[in-house]
This record gives sequence, structure tokens and C-alpha cells, in this order.
Amino acid sequence: MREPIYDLPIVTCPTCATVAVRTRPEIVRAWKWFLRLDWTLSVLVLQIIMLAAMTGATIGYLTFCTFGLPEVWNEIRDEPFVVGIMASSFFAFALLTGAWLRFAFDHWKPFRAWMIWSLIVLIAIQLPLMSAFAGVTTFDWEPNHQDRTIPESLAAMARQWSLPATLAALILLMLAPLGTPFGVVGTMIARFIRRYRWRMRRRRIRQSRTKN
Amino acid sequence: MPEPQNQSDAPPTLPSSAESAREERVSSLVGDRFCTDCGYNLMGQPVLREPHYNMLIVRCPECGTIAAPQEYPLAGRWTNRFVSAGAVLLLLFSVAFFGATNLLMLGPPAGFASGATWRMNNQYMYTAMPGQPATALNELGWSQVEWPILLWLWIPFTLSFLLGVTWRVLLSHWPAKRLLNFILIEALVLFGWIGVTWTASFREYQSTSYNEDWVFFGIPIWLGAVAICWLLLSIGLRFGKPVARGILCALLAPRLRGPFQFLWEKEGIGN
Repeated sequence: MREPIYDLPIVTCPTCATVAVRTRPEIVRAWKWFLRLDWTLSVLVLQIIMLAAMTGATIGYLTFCTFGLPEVWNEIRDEPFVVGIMASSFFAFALLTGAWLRFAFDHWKPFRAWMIWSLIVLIAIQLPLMSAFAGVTTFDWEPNHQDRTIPESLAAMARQWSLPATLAALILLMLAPLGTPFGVVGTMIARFIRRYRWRMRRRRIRQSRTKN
Repeated sequence: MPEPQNQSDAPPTLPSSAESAREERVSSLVGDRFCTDCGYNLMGQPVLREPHYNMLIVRCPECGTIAAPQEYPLAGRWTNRFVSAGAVLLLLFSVAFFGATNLLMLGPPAGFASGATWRMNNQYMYTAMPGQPATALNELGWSQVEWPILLWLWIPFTLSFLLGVTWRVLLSHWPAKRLLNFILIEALVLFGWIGVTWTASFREYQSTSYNEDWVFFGIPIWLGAVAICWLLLSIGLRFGKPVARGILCALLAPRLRGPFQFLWEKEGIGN
């Protein structure tokens, strides 16, 4: 039974007549907390997956720019359409990076997010260094490949991978802020949808109260 | 149900101006508490002493629903059963996660140590003189170990630290001193397991040259790697809360951090 003034389920102590409100059991509140935690963890996992995917995609794209492009350059250099497509894809990837940074890290200052992302990319570029040491790659810079010593191998790696990849990454990162407006639009749309859903929910509650 | 001390014609959740004037402000709500109807966060709203039943109430500014700050949970039979089932599930999950933690701290280091020794053994097999006894490999010493492959140990090391952070979040209701028990139990399990393996391998180490390498080189490398893993797990446990807070702040917007509020409290859940 709910009392008429506040619509709360109340009980009265038969001895001292103190009034108290019956509240939801702890397990129901725990379940509600779990549902919210589930949503939060889903977002967290999605953020981590996206971070890993964007890092992987960036490294993959830089690998293509460093190794794949020079191999096919002689074949495509006279075809402006193919060169245009490749340049556009580079530009589009930079825009995607900027939009993602703005959308996924809306709670960060844009410059800070960009700086930390740049740091992650520049560190990730150096990871093949470890592969070279561990001897698990078949790259040309692998130690003992063509009787190279480790310093020679590192120098080969810097020449063939680290320097060109870092240069390509810097260009990519410099272009990335151009994608920020797309991220801002995405954020605004997401915020609008969230607010609209809450507005509808509150309206339903008010309507159901009015009917009762 | 008692009759209210003072009835009014106002709608159920919206007080008249006269009632509002008689509501005595006691304090304001500290911490997250969500409206039961619309989910609005009531943090910072005034706690009022209402005039009808003399109860403490908080009014949602969005939908006007009344929330009572007192809590008298129901304790029905099915509620208790659900609570027991939840506790058993939590216990099972904790035991499984404890097992997984040990597996992840023992398995990958063993794999890399084994890889380093196996490569070393292979190298020997190709370079040994015909007729030379397999035990001669020991005389070549540690210089023959394939150290570069151990660079990959950064993966189990990072994993161990993150496992420490995860355990700190799961055990956030434990005081810091009690975590020492967990660290000691982990040491007992990890080093006990390595000790048992070492003893078993030592009994039959002469069966193959690989076993010999494993006993004299592989297991010490494994032991060292697991010791570092254990150390990093302990560091993760010690600094788990600030690290978890940092990760959450980095990846989640403030409105999504509500369920992890206990990480910002001094003593964890329920304190």
C-alpha cells in the first residue's frame, strides 16, 4: 500500500509510531547496479577494442606506405587515377583518425588526446625493433640475415622502416585534426539521441502518473 | 497505515508552496543516488524533513519523485535465496579467476623459457661433434641460451601487472594490509608449482638432452620470469586503484563512471 501524499510505500512501527519507507531489496539494487556496470564495461571494452584496432590499422597503413607503395610505385606512377585514389585513402584515413579521436575521447581536451595518440603511434612504430632482436621476423633487418651484426641490423631497420614510417606517421598525425569537425558532429548526434531518449522516458513517466 | 498529519490537495509529488515552506532542510545528499523513476542523479539535492510523517526525503528535480534516504531492505525468502545464489556464483567466479591468474602467470613464462632452451638445444644438436656426450652442453653454459626470445616476456609481465590491478578492483573492499595475504598465497602457489615441477624433472633429467637443458637452464629462467611476474602482480595490487582510476578517466566519460564510484571511496564498497 502506498500513502496518498508522496506515493511511497510506508510502514509504521506499532510501538513508537515512527514512519519508515520500504525500499527496494539490496539484491534488486545490486541487479540495477550490475546492469549499469554492464553498460559501462561494454563501453570500456569497445573503447579498448577501438584503440587496439586503430593502432593496428595505423601500423598496417604505415607498413603499406613504407613497403607496399615503393614496390608498386613504378607501375602506378603514370596512372593519376590510382595515385589519386591512394592519396585520397591516406587523407581519408587521417580524417577518420581525427574524427575517432574527437568522438571517442570527447571528455578530453582535443590537443591532449591528439598528443597522447601521437605518442602511442610513435612508440608502436618502434615495436618491430623487438621482433628484430628476437629473430622471429623474416625482414631484411633481422640479425644474422646476410651475416649482419645487431648494430648493422638496427641501422638497416632504421633506414628501411623506422625513419620512413615515422615520417609517414607524422604526416598522418598532422592531417588528423582536420577530421575533428566530423567527430564533433558525431558527438552532437550521440548527445542529441541520448537526451531525446531521456526526454521520452520522462514524458512517459509523467503521462503514466497523470493517468493514475 | 497511519493517517497523515496534514492532508493537502496538491498532486502526489509536487508540493504546494505552503508545504515547501514547512519542509525543513536538513542537509544535502552526498554521493550518487539515482531517482527510482527517471534515473536522474540526486547528488547534491537537499535532504528535507517533510511535515506529514516527519520523514527525511529527497525530491527529484526532474520528475518530482520522492526518495527516502533511509533504507530498510526487505528480507523475503526468495530474496535470501537469490542473495545466496549470487554469493555462490561470485565465489565460483573468484576461484576460477584465481586459477586463471596462476595459469597466465605460469604458462607464458614457461613457454618462453622452454623456447629459449629448445632453440639452445637445437643449436647444440647442429654444432655438436659426432660422439660427443649430450651433457657437454652444460659446459657451454648460459652463453648458449637464446636470450632474445625472452624479450617477449614483456607480454606476461604486462599481463601480470594488469591482473594485479584487476584483483585490486575486485578486492577493493579489502584494506591494503590484508592484500599481503593474497600476495603470500600467490607466492606459495606459483613457487610451489615450480618447485614440484623442478623436482619431478630432476628425477628424470638424464632421459634426453632437452630434459637436461630444461632442468639446468629452462627452469631457472622460468623461475626468474615468474618471480618478476609475481613482483609485478604485487605492484599492480599495491597501486591498482590509482591505475584503474586513471584507465577509467582516460577511456570513459564522467557520466559512465558511476558504477565504479567505489574506486574513489577511501575504503571501497559499502564504506
